[in-house]
Amino acid sequence: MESDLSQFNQEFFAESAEHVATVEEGLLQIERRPNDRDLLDRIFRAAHSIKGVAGMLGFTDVMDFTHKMETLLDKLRHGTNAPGKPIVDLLLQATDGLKALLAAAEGREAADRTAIAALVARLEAAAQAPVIESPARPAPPDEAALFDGKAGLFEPAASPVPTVHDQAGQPVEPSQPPKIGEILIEQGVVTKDAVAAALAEQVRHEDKRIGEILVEQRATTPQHIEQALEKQQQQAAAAKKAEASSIRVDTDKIDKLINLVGELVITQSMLSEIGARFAMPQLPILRERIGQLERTTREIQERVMAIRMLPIGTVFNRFPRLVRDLAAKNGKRIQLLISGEDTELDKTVIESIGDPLTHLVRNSADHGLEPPEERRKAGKPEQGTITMNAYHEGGNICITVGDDGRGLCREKILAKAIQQGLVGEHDKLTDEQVWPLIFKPGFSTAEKVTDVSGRGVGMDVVKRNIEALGGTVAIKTQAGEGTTFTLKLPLTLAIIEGMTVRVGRELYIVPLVSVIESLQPKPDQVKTVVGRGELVNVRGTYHPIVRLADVFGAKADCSDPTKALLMIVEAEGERVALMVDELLGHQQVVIKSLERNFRKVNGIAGATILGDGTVGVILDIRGVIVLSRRGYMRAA
Amino acid sequence: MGKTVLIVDDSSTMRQIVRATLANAGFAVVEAENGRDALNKLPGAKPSLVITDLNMPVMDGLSLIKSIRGQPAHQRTPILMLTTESDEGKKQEGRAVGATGWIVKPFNPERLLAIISKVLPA
Repeated sequence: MESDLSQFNQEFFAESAEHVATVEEGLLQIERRPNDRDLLDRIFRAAHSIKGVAGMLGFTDVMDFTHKMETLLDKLRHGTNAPGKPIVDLLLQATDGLKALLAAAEGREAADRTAIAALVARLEAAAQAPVIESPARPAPPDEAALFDGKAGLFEPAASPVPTVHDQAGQPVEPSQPPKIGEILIEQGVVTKDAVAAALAEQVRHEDKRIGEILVEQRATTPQHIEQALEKQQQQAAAAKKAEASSIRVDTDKIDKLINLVGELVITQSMLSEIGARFAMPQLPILRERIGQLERTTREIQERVMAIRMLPIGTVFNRFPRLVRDLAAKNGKRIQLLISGEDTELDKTVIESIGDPLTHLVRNSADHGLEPPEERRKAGKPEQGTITMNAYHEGGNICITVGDDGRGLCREKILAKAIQQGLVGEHDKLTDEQVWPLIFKPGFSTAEKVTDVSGRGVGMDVVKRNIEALGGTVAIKTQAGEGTTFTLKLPLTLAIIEGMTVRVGRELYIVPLVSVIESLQPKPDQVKTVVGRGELVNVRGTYHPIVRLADVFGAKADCSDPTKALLMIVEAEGERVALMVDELLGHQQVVIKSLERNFRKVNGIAGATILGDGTVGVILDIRGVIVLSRRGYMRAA
Repeated sequence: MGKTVLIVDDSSTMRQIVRATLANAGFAVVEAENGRDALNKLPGAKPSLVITDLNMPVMDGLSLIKSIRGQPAHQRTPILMLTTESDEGKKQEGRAVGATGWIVKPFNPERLLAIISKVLPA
């Protein structure tokens, strides 16, 4: 019987991630409580668990490495070595190494073998364990025995542990990495014919690789082949990352859901019964059952969404480590206060906010917070504080990252903005208009902040990432006191709160998160300016009027802005006034992808089925603004 | 076969691996994540065999074995320890408190089934 243990790999990686988090968090705490035996035991067990299963599944690199960590941890918990800062540092770096090895085992990225070997050497030295000691792999691997009172039975070590996985870069899943030939053609290095010829040659010599044949045939150089191979690996790793991942769900959530589905089935059969022999006197009962159906369905909807919701703590918990490292790197003293870790949000959103949050935290640590002497001179405590919080508000989740540092400097920002031509020298700008300037592309290029895993990160990318998730970023800052960024994100990407509006006979849905306010303007608020079209004056600020009818080719009832309704909406810091005939109401809307079912349409984020069965179109405000500028300018 | 096995290990992946192996061989499986959890589930599960890890939070494997052996109903219930080192000390300690045998992690699932068939009459 062949046992295929690779089916457990995903579970292993999920579980290991939790154990790694336990180790890391534990190590961060152990510095403050070096004599906490329980804590040391917990850290030890976490490493031990990873080792155990890694061995079962054939991830020998992970198993061997974890064994080294475990040996040192075992010595620590039995009190031979005191866990001082150098040892904790070593173990934290070892944890990073372990993360890398796990990522390699998962096929995501290759691990730096030299660095790993160096860590192993340091771990052994710290544990004062000579290399010859108990080998990581207990020999022989499947020893087992029964105590027989007399001589136990000793099973001969027979078949070795099945190696089901080749770590470091060989995807075992059927998702095909792009072929070398395709990559080379894409890069313009070889022609299609050359590849075809090479493939033909390969049929004759099966053991030769396409790269070799192409070089042999002088169609390209070894360097090009190497580059293409690198690209192939990158794409394979990226594809693996994007594959279906799993979620660990509380069985409690599932049980409640199962109950609700049961109720749904009951209500549905009651309705069937009524429907089978319907007579008007049954109308009240019918209405009641339908009401029940609605309630149950809504509850199911909420609970199903809740399944994909995870506490934001899973993202927050990487930050104590980061702040510790940043503080050390910058020579500053920083404490991190975290609250709201239990606030839940959708898994897809969680995966995407890590990078923006990291950038904001780095910003605070690198630039926002002052060095100890400067703080002392300013009468502040030498230790700076970064706070992270998360809470629900309406249908959104708000995440704040704040510091008690210098605050944003208006003059510096304005100076740079003027220099970059974003703002005229004599423009009058309120503070609220100055702060968002830091989000303009190219603004933060002067500060070469070290990248998070090689991605180019700047404030503009942060804002774009958040807006891509349908959210917004707000800044609050006070010179000398600090800065707080507030990210507001929808709780789920699949369902949004929308305002349904009517233009003529067409219905559109405007995402509520983009709506600032609605108004019916008075005649003196509306002005037409040569070269800029119609504008509406709202408390001193002029916004362009965008006639939705013109953008989408619909026929509006009202052509006079003062008789129609204007909705002030915002996207990417720009505000415009959408002109519509009527506001129909506010509702939750399930987004169906237009792209997947039809094709991408500019200005439209998706579609949905409205209550009466008709199709409603959900607007992409940014797209609408772009279309309005591109497509037409109402004659002045 | 209709026999129940109680698997005690704080790693959910390990429990899943053992569960799948045993289920394929026709066993019913009850999972526990530490010694305390195992003792709570013992009366309900009425296992014919207990497989337990040694390193667990709340209550470890050796304490669990001691407790199980302290119950009249389980004086002779086979108990196998899962160990990760060929550590004579742990094995002998286990033997002293009444374990029936041990198997070292990582193990080949077939090996586990083989040793189980030795302690459980078919």
